[in-house]
Amino acid sequence: MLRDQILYWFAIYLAVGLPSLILLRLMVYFLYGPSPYGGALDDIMQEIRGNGSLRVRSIRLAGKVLMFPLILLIWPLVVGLVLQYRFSSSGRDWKSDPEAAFHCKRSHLVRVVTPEAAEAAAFVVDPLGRVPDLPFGHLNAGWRALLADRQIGDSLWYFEVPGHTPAPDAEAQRHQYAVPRGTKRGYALVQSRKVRAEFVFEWD
Amino acid sequence: MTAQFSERLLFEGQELTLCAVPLGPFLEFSGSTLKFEATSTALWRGYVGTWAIENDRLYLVKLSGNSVIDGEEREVGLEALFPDYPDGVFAHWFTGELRCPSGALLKYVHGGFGSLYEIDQFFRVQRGVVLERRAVINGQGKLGASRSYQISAMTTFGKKKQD
Repeated sequence: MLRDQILYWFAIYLAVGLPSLILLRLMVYFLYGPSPYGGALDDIMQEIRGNGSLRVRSIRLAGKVLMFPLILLIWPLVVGLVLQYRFSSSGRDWKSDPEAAFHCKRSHLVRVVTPEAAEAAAFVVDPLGRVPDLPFGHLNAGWRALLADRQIGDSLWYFEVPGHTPAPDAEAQRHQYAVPRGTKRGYALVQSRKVRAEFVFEWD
Repeated sequence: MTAQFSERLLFEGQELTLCAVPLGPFLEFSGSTLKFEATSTALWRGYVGTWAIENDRLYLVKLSGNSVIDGEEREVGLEALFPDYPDGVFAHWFTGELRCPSGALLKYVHGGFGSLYEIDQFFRVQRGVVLERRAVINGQGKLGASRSYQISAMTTFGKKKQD
């Protein structure tokens, strides 16, 4: 397992580092001309041959020598880590908002209700008897599914999603609807100020 | 994008073209597991519902759709969704406006229910109860213009059969 992980990160290191190294070397070559050692080695050679006291040159040389492998080792790994996080499932979860899957957003929440109060307001009566005698009538299974999904810490909210009215000159307005379209009403389970589940009982 | 087959609305002894899909919210939020299959690009929803307004209430009285059951595509009706209500169900889940176009075609739009006809009849419905009815005159069609609901082109799919 550990061996696999080491190989995985080594592969990422090579995949990022080698093409970048070749590219950078080409850039140095074309921008600064050919050099017998390369940019970083040139610096080191200058320190060895340069002026100043031996102590100062030794300190500067040690810094450059130490920095060289550190940078060489770390930067491809950092790039690899960022790429891996960005494209992994955890990275995607971090980018996407789980609440986006719901019709109800935080701004649509109207008031906290109890399940009993919601049910009391939801009995449907039909003179022809074409609806079951249950809260939310034909939608009762959806309501029961919402209640079954409740967890400790959830609160039940009544919500209203406003519809949209096209601008008077918009092409979509050629059919002259009188009321906004796409309005929705329902109940949502909210935990830590986040919508966790929803049940829509009325929708245009 | 393709113009879609309309639903049907029975009202005062007439069968009207209904350019709305009141069953959509029910399918999404009722917990129903029935999935309809598209039979053509002009019927992506996979069914046609016949609705009726009786005593100012909206009922779904007939359904004709396609669904894959036991690995084979079959025609299904109202009983597949509402086995206890063969004569129809009260559409209490629907709130909004139903639009029924009629008259000559003024502008053809090859997408959804976008085409414009001479008259749009609207029924404003709240939780299945019809509150208001109004008509909008959109214009006058040219002589010889089509007077029936139009779909100019579509691609029909073959029946699905799973092995």
